[in-house]
Amino acid sequence: MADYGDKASGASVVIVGGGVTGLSTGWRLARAGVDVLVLEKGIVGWEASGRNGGGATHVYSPFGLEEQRLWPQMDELLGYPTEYQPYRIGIALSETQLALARRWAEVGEMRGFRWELLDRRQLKELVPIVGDNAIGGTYLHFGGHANPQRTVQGYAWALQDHGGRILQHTTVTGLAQRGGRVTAVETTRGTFDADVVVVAAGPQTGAFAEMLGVWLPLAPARVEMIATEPIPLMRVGGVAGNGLYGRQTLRGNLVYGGGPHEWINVPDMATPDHANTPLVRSLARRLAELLPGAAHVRLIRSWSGLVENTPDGLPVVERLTHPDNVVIATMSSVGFGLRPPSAARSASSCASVGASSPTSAPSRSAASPIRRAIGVSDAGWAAAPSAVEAAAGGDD
Amino acid sequence: MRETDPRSISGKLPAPDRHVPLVVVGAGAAGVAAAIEAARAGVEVALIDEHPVDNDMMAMDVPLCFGQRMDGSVRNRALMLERVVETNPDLAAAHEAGVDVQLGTYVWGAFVNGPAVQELPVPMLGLADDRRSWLLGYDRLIVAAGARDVLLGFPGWERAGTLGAGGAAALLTRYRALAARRILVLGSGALGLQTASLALERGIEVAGIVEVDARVRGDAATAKTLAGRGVPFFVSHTIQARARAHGRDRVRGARRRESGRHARRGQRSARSRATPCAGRSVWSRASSCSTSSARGFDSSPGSAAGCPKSTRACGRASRRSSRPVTAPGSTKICWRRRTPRGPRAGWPAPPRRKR
Repeated sequence: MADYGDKASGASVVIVGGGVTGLSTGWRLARAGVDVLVLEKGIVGWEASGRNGGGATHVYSPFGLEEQRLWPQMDELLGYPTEYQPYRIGIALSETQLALARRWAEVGEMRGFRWELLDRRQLKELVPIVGDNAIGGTYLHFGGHANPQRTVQGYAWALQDHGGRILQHTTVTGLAQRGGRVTAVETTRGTFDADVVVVAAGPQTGAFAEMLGVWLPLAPARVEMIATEPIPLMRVGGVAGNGLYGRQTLRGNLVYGGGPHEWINVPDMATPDHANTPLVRSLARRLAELLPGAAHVRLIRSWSGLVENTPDGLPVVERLTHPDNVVIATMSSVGFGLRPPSAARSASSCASVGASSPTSAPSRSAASPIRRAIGVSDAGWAAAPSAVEAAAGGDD
Repeated sequence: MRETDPRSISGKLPAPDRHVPLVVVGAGAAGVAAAIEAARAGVEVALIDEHPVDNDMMAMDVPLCFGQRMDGSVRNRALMLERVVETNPDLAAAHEAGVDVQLGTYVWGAFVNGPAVQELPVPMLGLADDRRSWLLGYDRLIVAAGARDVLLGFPGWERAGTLGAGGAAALLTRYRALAARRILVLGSGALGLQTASLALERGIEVAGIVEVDARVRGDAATAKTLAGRGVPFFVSHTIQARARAHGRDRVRGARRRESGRHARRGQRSARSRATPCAGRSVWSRASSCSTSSARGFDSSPGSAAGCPKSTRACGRASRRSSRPVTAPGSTKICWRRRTPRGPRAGWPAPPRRKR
């Protein structure tokens, strides 16, 4: 990816973070003709944004409906392939898992989507590699999955197609304030003037909020994933269950992750190296239980990433009141699937230069403001059902 | 919160059933020596080595580039285990010294605590054989895993019969299971000469040694010995393509276009002259395709642009190594195999049966 604008020069909107949230926001803005600059400390989409379960089935979210509406159009909107594939199948190996899968489906139903309960025979027809240990499943006529790496790349290219700029290997070190506004973004490659700043810095978002005097409790956790060698394509690649989320790629690889996780302290702006643990064996075992017909397939890759979590697992997309030209955007661990289409839009609305009142922006749903976190102390909140758990139960 | 979250791994990762103070990965000369030394000093030591590798893995060029030139014996796992022990007498010595030797076992992960992982009770290795995987705790780790093959890419390089020096050496020595009779060696560095000598020693004909530089790069005495045994050297040459003709593998070579620092002493007329090489199946042709494409060798600056075909990235190598294919010692060997001609000239050759 070419870096544009090597010279330090500002932009109307400067976005801190070249993950999926920052890139999608930038793309939306660039598409609307806004002068936008994305600053990324490493490579775009190199962290959890580009390597994750690739799920796009978050109907429980405040952005769920937008997600469902937009994902099928994304290839066309971006002009680059996302490998989006519709529908999801949930496999249950126990009554508990079936209840969980049903709950997931029923949330969709409440929001107007169709689903079917599958018995073992139907399940086997759809997914030939399930075993006799499966008791049933759900077929969701909504949701889907996409290739995270290609999607992030697509956002970056589309952003540049619309005249937006991306600076990689540029670490933001500070936010210069004057007169109650952030006027510039200080980086390792110079200072960039900005009318509006969007902070979409993943695990580091909380640190930036703190710089601005805003308390945003975010807890980063490390989650791990595995990929197998390719197997023949299934009719529906979005197959998950047994505590796993994931998908079959168009090449045929089974790519799965899903709890448990480890809470990680990220003390500074540097994201620690990705490391796996013996948890990958747990993932592999659960995948072999879920899809016994593929139990012989070799694992060829594993990786981990850091996801940041809000106390209630729901996104924060808010334009601050002080300073009033900053938008904070974190998607709380399920950034990929849900956020590109929907949150991007919300963040864009907030960030649009001259947007009159932040309260009129569509993102001001009950779930997204930061203030709901007021009163949440640093300790103990992670015990509440988090998005990590939601992701583990369903799909990310 | 670490304590209250039921889905956190905090405190839940058990230590492996077995723990050894020292693990040595790799039973080559260095690994075995380290293991023996440690055992003699009274340290409990486990020596892990991936050989013999499962036949399926060999077929996928894992862990070395075997180029499908294994003979049928590699399917016999017991026999391979026997050969690996037999061909590496040091293993017996290690065993005698009290080292716990685990063959046919590969390491798929080494896990230690660090900035992104804080919950491991002890450092541990992920091990597996062809049936199962398990964990082994350790205090100290010695990695003596040797080298992997990094190959040079050229048209036809991905087909069966192109081996890495490591894969070739393993099949010749460790497995004694190489299905080839005649080889062409690319690269005249130490590795290339060594491979050619090894092949001759094992009764394999060496059709030639191709060197992109204007001179042989490896040890002069070894090169002289090889030349004395009739091995032709093709300096200022590189490989252009591997092709099949009349049921045989052929290698099309290219003479280096003299340019840059070699221009003055080079022969420009060579460009238009075919250069015959010894052996019917190996021939070299002058070409405007500069040898600078041979990135694994010495490249002459400024001439790569005209040769997009052979400068393409080496997919097979990049699959197993993120490094660019520019290792100066990279050596590639082409193996030719005679295959019977089709029933009638002009008919498509029958598909080659997998051995």
